[in-house]
Amino acid sequence: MSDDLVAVPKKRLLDLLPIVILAGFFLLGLMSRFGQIFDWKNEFILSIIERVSNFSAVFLGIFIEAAPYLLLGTLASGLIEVFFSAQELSRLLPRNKILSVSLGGLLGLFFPVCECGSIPLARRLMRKGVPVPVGVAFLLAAPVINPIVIASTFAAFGNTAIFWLRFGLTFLIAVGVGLLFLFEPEANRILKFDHQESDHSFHFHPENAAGEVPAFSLGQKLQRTAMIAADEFFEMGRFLVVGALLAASMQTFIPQNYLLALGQGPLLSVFVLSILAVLLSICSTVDSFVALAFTGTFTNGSILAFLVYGPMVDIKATLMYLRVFKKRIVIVLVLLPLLLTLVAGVAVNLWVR
Amino acid sequence: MTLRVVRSFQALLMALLGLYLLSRVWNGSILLYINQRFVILAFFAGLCMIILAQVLYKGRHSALGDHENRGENAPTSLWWVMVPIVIGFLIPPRPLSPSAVNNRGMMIDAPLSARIEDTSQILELSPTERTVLDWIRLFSYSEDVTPYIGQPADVTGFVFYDGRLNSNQFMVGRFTITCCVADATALGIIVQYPEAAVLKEHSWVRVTGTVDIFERDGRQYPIIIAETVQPVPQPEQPYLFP
Repeated sequence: MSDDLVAVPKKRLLDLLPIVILAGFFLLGLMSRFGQIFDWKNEFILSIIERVSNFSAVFLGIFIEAAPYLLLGTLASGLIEVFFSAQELSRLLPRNKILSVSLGGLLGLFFPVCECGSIPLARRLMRKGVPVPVGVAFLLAAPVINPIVIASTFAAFGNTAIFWLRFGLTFLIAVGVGLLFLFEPEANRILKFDHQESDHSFHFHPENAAGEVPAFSLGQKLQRTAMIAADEFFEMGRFLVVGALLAASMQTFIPQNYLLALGQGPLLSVFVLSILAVLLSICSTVDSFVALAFTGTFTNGSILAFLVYGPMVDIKATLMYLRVFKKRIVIVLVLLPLLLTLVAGVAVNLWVR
Repeated sequence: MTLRVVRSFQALLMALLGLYLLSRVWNGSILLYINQRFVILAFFAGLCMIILAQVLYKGRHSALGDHENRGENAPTSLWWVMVPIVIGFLIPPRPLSPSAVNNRGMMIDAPLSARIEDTSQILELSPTERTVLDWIRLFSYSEDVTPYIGQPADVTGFVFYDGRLNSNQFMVGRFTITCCVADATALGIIVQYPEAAVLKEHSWVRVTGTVDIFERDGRQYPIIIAETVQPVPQPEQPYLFP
């Protein structure tokens, strides 16, 4: 963990960033309000105001849509932390490693959350002693393999090859990447723990050396659940905010056609739609409808890539991964699914009609 | 910051977020951001946040909480979460303006987000009540579109020009939203109108006329032969929800 200990001083500058952004939006907000009150006619100012209001509509759209799911995920995480002990959790998993990783890939069927909710939940499970491979498989698969997304994808594509391939591929990639983590048994080298950052006088250690949870009243337990959920909501919420800011700027300032015009041909189209999926950061529950819009102009393999890769890795998810995993692990988690998706997408383009 | 201050600040932000969500649900402007199906979710999230804020504020002296997640960076993450609050309360709530279509492109094709193949509900509407979305859906999912020829149409949308159109044509478009504004897609119907060129792009118009068929690449699309095209203010609810 020594590499994390040194990285404190350069963070100061980054700490100012949210304040600068806040001040910027404060001024833009005032400008829009004054523009409304005094009915400014200046073309330049009007065009800025319009851009700002389009930007904020997309930003708030993403945030309002995702915040309830994030809250749900953090509440679930709080409940697991407070009401389950590590032993109870690990007893639920099958002994066989491959079987338990596969189960991790299907866990989303029981926790129907999209990527904003699955990340805090996966982190909690891993910190609670659920093996990392299982947690990773859950993390990558849950945004797609869950009842809500199955229903919406079926609504969009019906009983077609794309529908089945989306779930099959996601499962295979998630479990495959998960299994890879079997080779690194040290959770410390994968996960980011914050022990060293915390000031111990703040904290209360609920688990004693033996890992047993001391007795609390139900009220206290619920209060603790709420506090853990809130801590996590703010911790992860910041990445939701940053991700939504980036996605909204993408959508407001860069015409989609530029990217779309690039992508034809069996290989390039797969690549372009994978990248578009990352940049758009659309929630997995609706991306199938957006993908449907591309069916006329894009190859089937590339649409599949959009549907498989987008939910695993997008702007906000990547930022949240940085909070859960060490940097080099995040790189693996971003690149490996991308490569696997590209291979699968190109294969579909070449061999499946 | 001491834990007590962090907790109070967290409680304040939670309460503001909750209030923001609830106030948008209350005055209906939440529909400028998300599809109506998700409003109930935002409502419960708002309530939940208010309750959480209460718990946080009450428990600001206690040390119950997570011993792993908090640390030096707590204040920064709080500043970030203020961003949606400032944008939400300060920037006037406005729908995506039609000019955003330049970034997104316009579809005349199958209602992507509205893949409900059952057209019986639309058929129950009288032709003049059908929206842009209804017409496109009707043409995508009907076996035979000839009965619709000559039916009267009365639709509202914004003006959009496409390079492939003739000089006496324009498109009347609407944004459809399946989930949130991030997935907004513009749908449009081609309108035949002699004075098409004088209309202001992206302005809102009400088009009345009769429906006809236009064929491209072996597929049939609706086209409106306009009788009148009059400028109208932007509708209160500019999006269509499939």
